[in-house]
Amino acid sequence: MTITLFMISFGLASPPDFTREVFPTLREHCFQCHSHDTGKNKGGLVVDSASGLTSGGDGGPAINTQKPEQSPLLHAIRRQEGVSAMPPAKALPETARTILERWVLAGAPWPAESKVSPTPAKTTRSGTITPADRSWWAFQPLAPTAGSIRDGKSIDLHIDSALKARGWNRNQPAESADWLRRVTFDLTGLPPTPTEARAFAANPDKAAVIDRLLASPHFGEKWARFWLDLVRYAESDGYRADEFRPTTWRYRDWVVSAWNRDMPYDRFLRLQLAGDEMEQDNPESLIALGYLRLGTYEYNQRDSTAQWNAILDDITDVTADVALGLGLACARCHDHKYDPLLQRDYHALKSFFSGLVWRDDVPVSTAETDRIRAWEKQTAQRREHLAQLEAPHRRQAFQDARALFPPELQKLLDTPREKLSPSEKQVHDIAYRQVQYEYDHLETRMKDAKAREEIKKLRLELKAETPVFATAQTVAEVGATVDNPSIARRGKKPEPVAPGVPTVLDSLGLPVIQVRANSSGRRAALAQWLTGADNPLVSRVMVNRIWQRLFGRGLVATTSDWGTLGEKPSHPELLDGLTRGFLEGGWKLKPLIRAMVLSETYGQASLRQDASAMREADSDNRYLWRGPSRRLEAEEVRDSLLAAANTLDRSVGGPGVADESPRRSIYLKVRRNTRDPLLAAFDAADGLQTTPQRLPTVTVTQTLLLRNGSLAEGQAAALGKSILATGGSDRIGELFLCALGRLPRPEEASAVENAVASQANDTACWTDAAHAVLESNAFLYLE
Amino acid sequence: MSDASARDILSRREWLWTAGGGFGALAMGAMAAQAGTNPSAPHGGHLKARAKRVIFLFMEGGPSHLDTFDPKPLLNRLAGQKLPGSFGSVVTSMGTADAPLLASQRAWKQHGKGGLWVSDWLPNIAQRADDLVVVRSVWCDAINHSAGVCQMNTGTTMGGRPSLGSWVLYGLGSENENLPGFVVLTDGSASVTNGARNWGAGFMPAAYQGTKIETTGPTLPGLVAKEMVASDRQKRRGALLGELNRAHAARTPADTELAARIASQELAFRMQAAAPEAVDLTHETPATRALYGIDRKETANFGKMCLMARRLAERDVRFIQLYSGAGSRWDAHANIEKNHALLCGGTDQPVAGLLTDLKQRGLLDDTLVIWGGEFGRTPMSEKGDGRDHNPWGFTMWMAGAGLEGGRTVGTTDELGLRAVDERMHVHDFHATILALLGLDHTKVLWRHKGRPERPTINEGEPNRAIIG
Repeated sequence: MTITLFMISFGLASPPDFTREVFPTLREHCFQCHSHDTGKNKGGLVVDSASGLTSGGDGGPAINTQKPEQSPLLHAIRRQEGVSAMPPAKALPETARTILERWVLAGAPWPAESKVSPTPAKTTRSGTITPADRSWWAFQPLAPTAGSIRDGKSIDLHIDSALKARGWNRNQPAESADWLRRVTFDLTGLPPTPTEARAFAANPDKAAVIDRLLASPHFGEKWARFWLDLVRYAESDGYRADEFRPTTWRYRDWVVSAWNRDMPYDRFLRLQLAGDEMEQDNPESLIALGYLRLGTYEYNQRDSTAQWNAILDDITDVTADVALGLGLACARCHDHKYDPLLQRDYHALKSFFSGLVWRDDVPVSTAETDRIRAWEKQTAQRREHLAQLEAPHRRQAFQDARALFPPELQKLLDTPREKLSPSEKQVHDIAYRQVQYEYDHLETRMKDAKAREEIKKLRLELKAETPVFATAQTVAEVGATVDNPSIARRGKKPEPVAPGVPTVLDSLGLPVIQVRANSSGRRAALAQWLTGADNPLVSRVMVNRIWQRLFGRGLVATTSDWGTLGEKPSHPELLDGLTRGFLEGGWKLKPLIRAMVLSETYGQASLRQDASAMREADSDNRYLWRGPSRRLEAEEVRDSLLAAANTLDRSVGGPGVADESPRRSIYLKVRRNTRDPLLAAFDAADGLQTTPQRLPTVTVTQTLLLRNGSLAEGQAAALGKSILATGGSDRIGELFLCALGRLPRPEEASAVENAVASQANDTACWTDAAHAVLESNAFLYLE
Repeated sequence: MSDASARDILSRREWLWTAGGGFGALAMGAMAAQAGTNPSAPHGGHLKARAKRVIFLFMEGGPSHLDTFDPKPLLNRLAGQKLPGSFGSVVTSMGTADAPLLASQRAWKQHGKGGLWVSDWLPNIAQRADDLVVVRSVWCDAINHSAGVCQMNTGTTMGGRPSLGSWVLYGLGSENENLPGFVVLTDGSASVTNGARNWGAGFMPAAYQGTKIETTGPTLPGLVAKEMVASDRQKRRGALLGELNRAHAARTPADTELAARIASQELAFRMQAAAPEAVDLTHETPATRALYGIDRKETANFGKMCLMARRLAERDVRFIQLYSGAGSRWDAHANIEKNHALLCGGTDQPVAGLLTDLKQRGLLDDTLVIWGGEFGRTPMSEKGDGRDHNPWGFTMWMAGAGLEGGRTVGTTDELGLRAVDERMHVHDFHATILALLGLDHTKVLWRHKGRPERPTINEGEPNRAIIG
């Protein structure tokens, strides 16, 4: 590289020679990771130009020209505490380090513009949004030309016109039994029963079937699961203790019920984000707010400040993912590398949540509050007696718990809560849970055996008499005034950020925050803004998610990524038209789903023999030249094993049950560290991160669990036995009706017939036949 | 990397994953090529590979570097005093920042040609000193077990990311079509902190997750019923299943996912035989069993696990992870003498035996063996005779992979509190492991929610001093 240099005199302490000393040192030791030459900008930083150094990377400028001695670059090469040592692998040789030190201390003079300093890369955009950024399709309002689509025929017109433009056409309709199986699974997660299958064969009225399924209580169970995936639902803390959360199921039941009632999506979101602020008198609010309590919790984290911050970060990430379909998490530490999302945008969104505090054991109704009060009154004397006995041990427990925290947190715990600032109160509260934990486990930590046994006895007696009260884990606000979260940048004062919306969407206007008596009103403002009719993302993102659930692929394939790395819509007018219809219909989801499954596009056969050109050009079925097909989801596999043998307990709602229960999978306890092996093997969501779409895998573990697992074995035995007991002439037909909700095809019937021929009255023989059917691909896949 | 090239590498269709990836390059490679659905894997070979597989010996709970591989004379001189102010303050898990310093009671000797310091708790590993690269300067972000174990496995303290083994399997594929490519063994019945998510695939397909093999009873999940159902009945089921699936496939000739599933069903039959055989130690000679300490009660358990690890390595399992002290048993908050004497005693000979055996079978050259926990322990005492968690500087070691042994890399300060020279974050350590396997940690990409995700979360550098 040849460089023409024009030195500028800085008149400071004599700097080393730039050309002979500084530049070669940078090139030798830094350019590998931080230069345009190598195309690397680790940490967002390039050091091959003055602007690169001063605009800096993710952690801010590398050089502080005002106070050179405070330059992070200097600290990095000196390998000081608190910064990443540079170069990471090995300290600079002394001579190289000295050259750079002298140069930085002299103000890091860089020669006038030269080839070394090209235009700053996109990644150094540093806090601006361009008109080009704003013109990204996903941020535009619904196309005025798209009309309003609320029926299946209009969907078909759009699909047909896109197919026609390619010289393609739609497939023939699916066989009616295949259609029934598909739509029954898609709407309820269950196979059609033999009775339903027979009824549809006799009277193939699709609209009637769809209406029956939409009205079924199992509709909500199926569609709640999709929402629970998105919001990383689980019933335990995660981390080491993975403590079970005994009341979280109320949130799950609320979601099921909301889908069954066809709660408008805007209200559904508002209740979860800000039910306390927007529908104060609605007892549902408390439970819906459980959304804000679904994150993980580490019971022994002593850095409570960082812990609380991480909890708010997590809520911010999930909300952006779920509601906006934008991966905002990148912007927590730096402006997004690909999308027009700024670090400031992240913290402005987080700021809406900055008033949160956790509330446990909140009664879910006034009746329940009264019951609790009555019980408290009734047991007041005994509880007082116990409290007196416990008092000295509690004091000790407090001291012991307190001693585990660093000094500044000990000080918080010692200060009366009302004297703390809002953010201190929040940190205090999360730390105080560890004190409460010690109180709750008081008897396990007492050394004095006599006192311990007495307290233990009284506690047990009291507990035995305590009814199970209906309570929920929920949230409230720390008060009317809250502290803004800060962007922490190395070497800079933390910068508080007020609530605000992503800059790229600021033309929609800013949310109006109405402060309430005990509440900042921030979450209500966010919820209003998100569910405003002109928000280009929230409704459209949801409509697309529904489409993806039913057609296997979103009109925007990347359902939670509508940024520039995501895919553009395959049918933009259809997406906009459906969204407008959805908005005009009052954000109701059942009519949207009804229109989609009533369409002929949905009703096409998934198999197509005459389509090699389409298959070649569009193997993803982006243009829907055939009907959707998919593997059963994890819960569907388990539930339909039970349904086939008619041992499924179809009752709806209630606390989580053990894996062995015959109830539907959505009611199994969800522990983050101990997942049901069958559900885990079939790609169920892990409850740790938002899961917009499951990745259907094929693994040997799946095969082994189906082949040898006790669930399949038990259900095959039950099914085999009942088939044998039917005694009818068409046992094979009955077997297929039970297992697949359809009659066998001739080749299937003859295969089973051959297998059972000689021993048609043997239970083991029918068990084996049932097992093979339940393990087969015809069982695992929807056509 | 420019945006455009990043996009070229990234798969647009990960969610349509269909290959039988976790189990066998054959199934995966063939299916992927056929289906064209797997443009992003396997794609190793960015760098010259020094090892083909990993055996990760995870001492769960945090072994004390101060009593094993990192002697600190100053610690014994200052024992009983508080940490001098010059060492700075730390937030510890159990509030021990101001507790008196605890002397190490170990006798130390230098071993091998390299003169490596190893304490008398590990006399057998000391005999393998010239195989070891002792890294004394690892640090992590977690003061507690859950976050620490999570980070040592997945790079981050919060759950949800793929584990290192998953990334390796994704990057390199598997070479044994009859066994899982990522296998986990744990000692005892206690659950490893965080459970199965330590070897989970996070946002990548389940095909890349680790499979826990049981050391007693049925080897794999799902192998349990094998004995319950007579083999002739199993054959009958298999035959009917085959016919039903063929009938189904005849209608769906172009469906690659179904083809992959039929392949996996056939594979399952083979694995039912292969998996128990792989960990069946009955045909190992008495001499070999003795080498691993299987003939002694104290060492039999981990000895068996180490011998199974060698057998799995021989069968080209890509990533093998062994947990010692599952359920944080190395966590010596009190009475470290008793705790570590027991655990060191239970693992010393098995680990040394593994190194010896790998070497004599020519496997050590292309196997990377890693030893260590989620963090080390503090120079400060806890409860008078224990040590608290130390994430600021601790020891891991590596062996094999053609590494020149008998040396240390990096240092901690004079009391062993913080890493000083060659500071190596877990990301650096992971990047180094990947580099030894021929993978550039910046080029192993998985697109997830709009982000090109990498094993070390866009951080970390392979450590040149280790690699040499």
